[in-house]
Amino acid sequence: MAEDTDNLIDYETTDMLLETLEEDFFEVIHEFIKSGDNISSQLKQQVDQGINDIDTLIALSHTLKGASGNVGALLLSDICGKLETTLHEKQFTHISKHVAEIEQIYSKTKNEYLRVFKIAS
Amino acid sequence: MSHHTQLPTMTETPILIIDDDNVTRLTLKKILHKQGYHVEEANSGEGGLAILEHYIPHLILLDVMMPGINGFETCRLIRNNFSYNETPIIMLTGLNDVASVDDAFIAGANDFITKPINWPLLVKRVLYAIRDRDIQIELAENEARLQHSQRIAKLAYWQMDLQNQEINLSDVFYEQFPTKHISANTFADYIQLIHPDDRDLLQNKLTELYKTKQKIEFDHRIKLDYLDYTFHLYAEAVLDQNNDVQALRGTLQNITQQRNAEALIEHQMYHDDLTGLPNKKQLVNELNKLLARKESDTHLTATVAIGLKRFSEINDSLGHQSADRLLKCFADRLNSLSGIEIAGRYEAQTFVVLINNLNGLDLLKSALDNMQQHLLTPYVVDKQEIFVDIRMGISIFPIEEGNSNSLISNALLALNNAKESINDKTCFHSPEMNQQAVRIRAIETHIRLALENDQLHLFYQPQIDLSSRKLIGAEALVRLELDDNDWMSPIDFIPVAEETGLIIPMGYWIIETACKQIRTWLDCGVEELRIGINLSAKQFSDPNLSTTLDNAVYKYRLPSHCIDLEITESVALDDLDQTINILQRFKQRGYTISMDDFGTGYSSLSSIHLLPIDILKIDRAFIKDIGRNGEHGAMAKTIINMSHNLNLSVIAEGAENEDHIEFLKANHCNEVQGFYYSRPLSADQFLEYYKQYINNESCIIIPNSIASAQ
Repeated sequence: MAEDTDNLIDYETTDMLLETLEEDFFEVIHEFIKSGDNISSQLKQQVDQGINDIDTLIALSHTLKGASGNVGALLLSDICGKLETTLHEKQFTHISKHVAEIEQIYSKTKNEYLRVFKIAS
Repeated sequence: MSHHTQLPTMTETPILIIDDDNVTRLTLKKILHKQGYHVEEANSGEGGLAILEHYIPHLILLDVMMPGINGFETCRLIRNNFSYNETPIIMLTGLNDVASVDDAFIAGANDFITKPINWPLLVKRVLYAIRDRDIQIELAENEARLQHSQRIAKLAYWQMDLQNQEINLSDVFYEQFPTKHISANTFADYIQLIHPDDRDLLQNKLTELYKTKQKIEFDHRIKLDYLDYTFHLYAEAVLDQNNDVQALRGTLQNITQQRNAEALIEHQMYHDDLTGLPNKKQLVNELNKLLARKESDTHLTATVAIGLKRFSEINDSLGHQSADRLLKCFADRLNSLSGIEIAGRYEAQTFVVLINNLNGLDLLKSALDNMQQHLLTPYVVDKQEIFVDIRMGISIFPIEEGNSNSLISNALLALNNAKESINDKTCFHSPEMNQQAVRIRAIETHIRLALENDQLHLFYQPQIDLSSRKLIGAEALVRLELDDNDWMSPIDFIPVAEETGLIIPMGYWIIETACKQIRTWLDCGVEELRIGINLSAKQFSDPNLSTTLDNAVYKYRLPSHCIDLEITESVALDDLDQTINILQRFKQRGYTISMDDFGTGYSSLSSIHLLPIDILKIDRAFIKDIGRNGEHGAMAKTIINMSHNLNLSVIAEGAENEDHIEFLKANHCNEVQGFYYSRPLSADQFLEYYKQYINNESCIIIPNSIASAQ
């Protein structure tokens, strides 16, 4: 379990943010989780509906890539980026798998943030 | 302990964030806010553009990928639609997205930051970008200020490439001309604009610069549409690594206005404002030039000074403006005279004309006649016909030696003579006239110095009652002391003082000194004597006379009958009503009034009785020959009788011997004044004389040796 959570958060980034933002850091993480919850459920919804709106999928994966990257959730950002690239390259065969992976990593990442920074969910 | 230098806090510096990602936007906002920036945010390109309608940020952080119009398009729209292009735009791009970076540049972005964002670095990038913006703005402002200054100074920049002779002239150069159709792209084009007379100068100067590599500056003219523009050109060489001249560059300043103003000032310096004729300075210059050319020439040059007679009367009757117009007409006519070298206005109503190359005095005579005829033809000013009268004074070179100044002043002297002469309206200058003028100037100087240096003295000539031989009073006589106990005769200096107006200050000095002296004598126990003070014509008409006199009498606490004011016939009868007025005022104050030098002027006997005078003084001319050559003094006798009939007391002046005294006694003359009793005495001598008189109980005859001065 420890190995799984090791690379979820880039603590260098969060340290920098903490130092810079101080208490506002927690507001940012809250916003990240709010946004992440929203995007992750939208992604799931898109897959459930049969993957016919590629543009929305690209936009969602792009936004989550950016948001997660900027708060130090680099693994999540990375796999979002991969989905975005795949969609751009019009390879639609493994999309459901990608989305499931994002959901899973997002969930872990979110829990890790809540745990490490002692944020009430 | 931090080793970092404290960076400035960006108090309220406005920043706009445009990003659809709430997390990134919030993070950016919070971080920048902590740095002191004022942040506005938009979650789309459209939203950002709407904010920019009313908000001018110093920096825009712009995400690339957004729903709706994307970052590139937003960037382009900002650059195209808003005037403040100095606002830097930093685009937020993916780390591996090189194509985005290029697109951002093309769209007009200034910089990019890759995601995931390195937050501490972002803060520094923002700081740098804003500083760049401030520098850009300052630079732009300086540039604008510089351009503005150059526009005001009419200062253009130019550079010429020597390889292809192409010339680059800044806009300010073209702005100097009203026409828009000129351009100079090569040196050959520029040369075409230059005034033909200045083309060689320009070529030579630039060649000199090319050879010497030393900066040069000079003026040259541009000729365009028949107008000349003067430009001051500054040029220097641009050298390459081998120290060879690669290009020439410099500035071109339009100094036409300055040159025109200088020319105007120059013109005004040498010309008369009213008539436009050359003024005194220019006349002297022109005459100098003429004389310089004449070295081997035997022809005559006449300097003719022309004065308008009775101009002040014309001024009074027509008014100042019409009189000026008359002067202008007169000047125009003078200037249009044929055969003259130059005509100028010397001063007020005095003009000077130079006539050159005269082959003898006959020609001059006809030139003067012609001039006179031309100038005397009546003038029409403001619909009135005006007749003028002129006088002319002439000096001739080389008959007279001298320089331009002396020729002009000699002509003016001759003019003065012509003005005073009853018969001659035109006078030629003579050496005697010149000597006389020099002498008068010397005397004038003496008088001025005497007034300043206390070299004026009053002498007092006793006046004695003939029947009682009592000392009644004295006439105060002014004397001018030269150096070394030498004295100038009043016959010499009084007329000059009259002419120069110095008689006024001198007269007041006499009043003050005489009154002070009377007070001194009274304080020494001298009884109240009557002291005669001579009033000149100028002083008599001076409005301050009465006040000055009253002040002095009051100041020295004198009984007013001690003051005897002596006026001459010509003063008294010049304006009889006025004289009666003034004299009555003096009489009311208790002053005694005497008529001096009676019998020598143009007395109208019928007027004498109208004047409120007390004493008639018979002029010495009627006394001096009595007893000599059988002269019986008929005139003196008549004057004495007439005076008595008019109830006037009589004083005979110039009583010098026993015969005079006997005659005057026999004819009942009241008083005498003359060498028989005493020459004029200094104040101290007079006091001595008075003491002796008191001791003897009558006036004595004193030896001439006591009185040293006349």
